[in-house]
Amino acid sequence: MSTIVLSRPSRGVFHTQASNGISDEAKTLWQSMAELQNSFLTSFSIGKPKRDVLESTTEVFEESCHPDWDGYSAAPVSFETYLKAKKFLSALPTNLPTPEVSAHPDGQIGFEWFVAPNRQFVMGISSEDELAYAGIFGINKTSGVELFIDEIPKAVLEGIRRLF
Amino acid sequence: MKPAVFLPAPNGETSVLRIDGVPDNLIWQTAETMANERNQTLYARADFPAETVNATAEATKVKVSVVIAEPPPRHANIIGWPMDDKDKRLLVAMQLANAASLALKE
Repeated sequence: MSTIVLSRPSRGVFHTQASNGISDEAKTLWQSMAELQNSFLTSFSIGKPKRDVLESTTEVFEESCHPDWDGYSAAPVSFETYLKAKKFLSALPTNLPTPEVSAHPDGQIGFEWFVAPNRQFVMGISSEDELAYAGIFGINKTSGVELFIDEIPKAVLEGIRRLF
Repeated sequence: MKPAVFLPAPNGETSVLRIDGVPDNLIWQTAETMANERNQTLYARADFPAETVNATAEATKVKVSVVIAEPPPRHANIIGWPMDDKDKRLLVAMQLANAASLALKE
């Protein structure tokens, strides 16, 4: 048969989450934090993996943003999905490895963390506020759907951390 | 092997070719024809034993199976994907990918 192929509890340095503050001070603080995070990403040695995966995500989006991008009637990856994927990557703690990126036939962007055939975690991200994920950890398997608005769901972070 | 390779098209099918006993050059030729028909570039193929589909169905409790869908000759589809459950599709795709070997086009 053949098919063609076309943990630590720390959240990492500068992990940010959405601010609920509405005061001017809160906004200023949030902006400073965002600027600090951007400057961190431009650090060659530390920010490179994240920059690389962001670049890969852009490439995947460009290749699959039109209908039937795989020749099998795949749904296009929407700009909203692309933005959501970038949001996920920005929220990913810097102490976690960055994923491989691919487009899915349903128009989602997929992220995969692969250690070995029996140790891997995959997820799909869409323009909706949901993340679908599945993981294999030796003889154990897990899968589910979680809400993703600003913060990466705990179940997803735990799944990724469980691999390393 | 990326699980995404095995995820079904929006119609709920993953297109496969039955390659038992088929010479390697003919497999590549057929794959190339299929890619050309879709205006795609063929980079590689993912080979896996047919019984993997049944084993995956058992392991994941998702009733995926292979049905012959000719023409073209030897073409088949993996069907039975849970199209309402993306997480289950990911789990099935991972299991199939684990059993597959990648052959790059020379």
